[in-house]
Amino acid sequence: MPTLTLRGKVIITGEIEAVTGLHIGGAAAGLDIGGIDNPIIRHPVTREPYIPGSSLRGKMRSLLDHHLGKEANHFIQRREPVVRLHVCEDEAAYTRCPVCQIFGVTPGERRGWKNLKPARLIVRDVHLARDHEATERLRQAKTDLPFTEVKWEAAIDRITAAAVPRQNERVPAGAVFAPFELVYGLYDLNGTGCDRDLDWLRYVFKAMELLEDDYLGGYGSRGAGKIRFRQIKVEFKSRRYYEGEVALETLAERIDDVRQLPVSEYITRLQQLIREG
Amino acid sequence: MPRFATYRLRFRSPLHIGERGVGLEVSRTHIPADTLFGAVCSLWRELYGVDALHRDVLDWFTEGEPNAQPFALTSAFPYAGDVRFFPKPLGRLPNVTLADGDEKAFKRVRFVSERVFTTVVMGEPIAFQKQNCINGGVVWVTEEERDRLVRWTDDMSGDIVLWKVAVVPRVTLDRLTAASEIWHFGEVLMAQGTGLWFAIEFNHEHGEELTRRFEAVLRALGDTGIGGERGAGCGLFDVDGPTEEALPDVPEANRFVTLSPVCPKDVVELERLTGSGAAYELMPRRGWITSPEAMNLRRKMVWMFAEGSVLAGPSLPRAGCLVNVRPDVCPHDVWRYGVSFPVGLAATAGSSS
Ligand SMILES: [Zn+2]
Repeated sequence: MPTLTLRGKVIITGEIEAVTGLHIGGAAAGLDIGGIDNPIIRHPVTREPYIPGSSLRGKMRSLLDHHLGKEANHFIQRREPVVRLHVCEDEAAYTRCPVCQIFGVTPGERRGWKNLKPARLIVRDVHLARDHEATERLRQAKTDLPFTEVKWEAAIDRITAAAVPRQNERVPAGAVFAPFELVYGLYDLNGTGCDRDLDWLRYVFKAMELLEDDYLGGYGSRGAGKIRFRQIKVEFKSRRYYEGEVALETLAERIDDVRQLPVSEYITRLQQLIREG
Repeated sequence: MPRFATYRLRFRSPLHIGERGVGLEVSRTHIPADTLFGAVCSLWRELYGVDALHRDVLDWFTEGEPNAQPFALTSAFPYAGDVRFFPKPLGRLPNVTLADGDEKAFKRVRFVSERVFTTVVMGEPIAFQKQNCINGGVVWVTEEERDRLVRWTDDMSGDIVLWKVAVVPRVTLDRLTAASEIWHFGEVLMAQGTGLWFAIEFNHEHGEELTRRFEAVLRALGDTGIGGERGAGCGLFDVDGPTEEALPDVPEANRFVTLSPVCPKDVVELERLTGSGAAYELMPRRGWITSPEAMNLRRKMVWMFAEGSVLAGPSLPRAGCLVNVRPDVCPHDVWRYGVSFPVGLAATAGSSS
């Protein structure tokens, strides 16, 4: 019987700043906010815009797929719009694939696989920062809808080629969402250690970097959705931390540039903490 | 009144606990003890190994005597501030008086406050008051408790809102077309200062190490998440406690309310539990297996008595057992928790039909 042990969790937290307007789509028909053609997702209780963890995680995964040249072979949905992601089909490839290891493999025929590990990365929903001057500024600003602006855009009708004006809701540039939280688990399978998981942590930082250079949500080609990670903190929780034996280990703090998070800087410290339990 | 170690889970993300057969758009607003137990066991295995899981926990339930079991768990029910909620005891409650026309409102209630629960199980008379039903009418509290909860009053509706089950859009991306696909998902969103509580009775003959491990597992579970959509950060929580807190009980009663789902050991026990004075609801328990060698396998479905069920017979020794829900293709056993957590019921309380 395989043995799987958790050697600790790396917790990455901080703020996400909207450098340009942000549009993460909701469903126009279901929400119908003042007749906006393209409303954004709002939290059903607070009615504030937020970034769903699944959007953030999905975008990180697809950017990493692309970056590592992985083939999008797995259909999540076959009808239009077709939705595909990369998922390793054989175990040997999975064993070496950071994307499938970090983000997990989807349900399917993986019954005979002996070396499956749980998905390493968890990504939380990110809400507008509480008690933050950026949120207060948005609250004071007389925007069209609470916390958002409505932009008129000309969409080109595909059949008549006529320009059709349409409205598009965005969270304005300068908005700050916090705290974001990424939880990365380090696992040992069958006593082989977790050095590989540790090494693959760099792909999480890489995916954050790729996301900063890309965009989140819709209308990226028109400049929307540029984001920046700020005030990043990297912490480690070992088994002994969960047992209440040792304090939380801070590996990096108040980092405003994702590129300053190379895992090589604290890999020795992490290996030492893992050896201690 | 007996006292139990009580933990509070403060959720830092939404919670999705699957509800039977209705797809992903619905979620329960509590965590059944078998779900909690399953999550604890899989983290126990991750922190201490599969052998320790058997030695510390499972073998005692599956091979040992009932009085040697290392702990007993309640399901995790909502709380707000210092008010705990309990499942509404099922069946006719003769000590509860209803005004004409309030039957529908009473039927709607799924949780009652600690004060209401205690009064009901002690068999003391209590009048149902529709105006003290909060959170969309699914929670019944006393007037005094209602006053303690006013800070959760929603400006728009005027109702006290402690949690909401919301259907939220989720987005899946296609990296080739960059098109996003929206689908819908049921999530429980809890207001600040609220969460879920559960009680545990540790068998102190197992020593302090058992408690220490349980707490480590619970904290690690908070950073792993419980329930569905964990990858998208659902079900993450911080742990408060334990605190020693009392639960009502009527010793040597011949009926009890269970605070955890119950799976009877055998036909004899089933017949005893469903005997005179019983009022129960059966719920199918199903779901996925999350062990590394059986990922993406569905568990066998089992039926259990739901929390709040009034069952016949003495409360101790605890009724119910762990049940093996291993599907044929799975290489190892899969245990689901179905041991009762009984609260003795006064003769004047509960159903007698
Ligand atoms: Zn892969």
